[in-house]
Amino acid sequence: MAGKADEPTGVHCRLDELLDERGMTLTELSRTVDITFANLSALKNDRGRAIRFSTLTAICRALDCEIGELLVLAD
Amino acid sequence: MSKVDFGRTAGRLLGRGGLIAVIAVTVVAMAWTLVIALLHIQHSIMTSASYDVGVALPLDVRPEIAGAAEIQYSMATVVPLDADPTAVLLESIGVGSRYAVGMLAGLVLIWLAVQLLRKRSFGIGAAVLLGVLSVSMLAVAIGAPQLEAQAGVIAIEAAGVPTEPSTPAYGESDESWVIPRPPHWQNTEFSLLALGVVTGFSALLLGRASRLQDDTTGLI
Repeated sequence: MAGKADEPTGVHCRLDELLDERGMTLTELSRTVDITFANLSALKNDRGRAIRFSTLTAICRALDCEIGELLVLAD
Repeated sequence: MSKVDFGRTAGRLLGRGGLIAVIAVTVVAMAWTLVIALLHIQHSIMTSASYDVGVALPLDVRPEIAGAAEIQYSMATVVPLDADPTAVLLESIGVGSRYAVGMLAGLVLIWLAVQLLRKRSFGIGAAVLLGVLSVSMLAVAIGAPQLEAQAGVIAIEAAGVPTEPSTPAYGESDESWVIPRPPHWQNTEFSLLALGVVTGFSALLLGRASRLQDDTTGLI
């Protein structure tokens, strides 16, 4: 039985696409924003359940993007 | 602190070697407890159990003093020659259940250590296990002394020792009788009871913490 943590959030994180566009790896982003690789990986694979504003702004600044470009509603 | 972080912190504090040592010591302690339990139960089956009873002095029921007569008794230890099977069974259950709850506590400890070794979190499973342990502790703390007291009553009655005054009519009884100790709430093992209550609260807290953790799982 899927637990609460396994339910889809309805939010898709476009981290993969944004990293590709900028030729950056997850490891590099991890170093830049000082967030663990595991957490960024969870975010990239839509396994995140909640995100701090500080994390959001740090990633968006590092990728030079808007919050709306990073997080979109899932299909 | 998340469940994973808690596991990591506990893992760091104890270390892998520490956790393995905890498991090894617990296994040895459980094996030792099992041996002692078997010896104890075998001893209680093979040898006649002894029971502390009150021995009442002959009751003076002469009409002129019957109203003021009080039962006077002294304490003695009775060892029935032939053990009553029901009494032995109750005694064995009472004795065995104390060891069983110790073994269960050991199993829970090993399970928790293995969870930490595997870097798994303490979730609802741990809360349920602690809850089961708590209920077992409470049941044994209250039930085991009652069973043993009941075993004493049954054994004394089965031994054919008079447990009531033999001469209820007017006149002086010429026979003593014994007063077995009946089951009483004061026989409860309060130390085990307190441990069970604390374990129960721990289980409730762990369950609550697990639910809270579920609400924030994936927070990045």
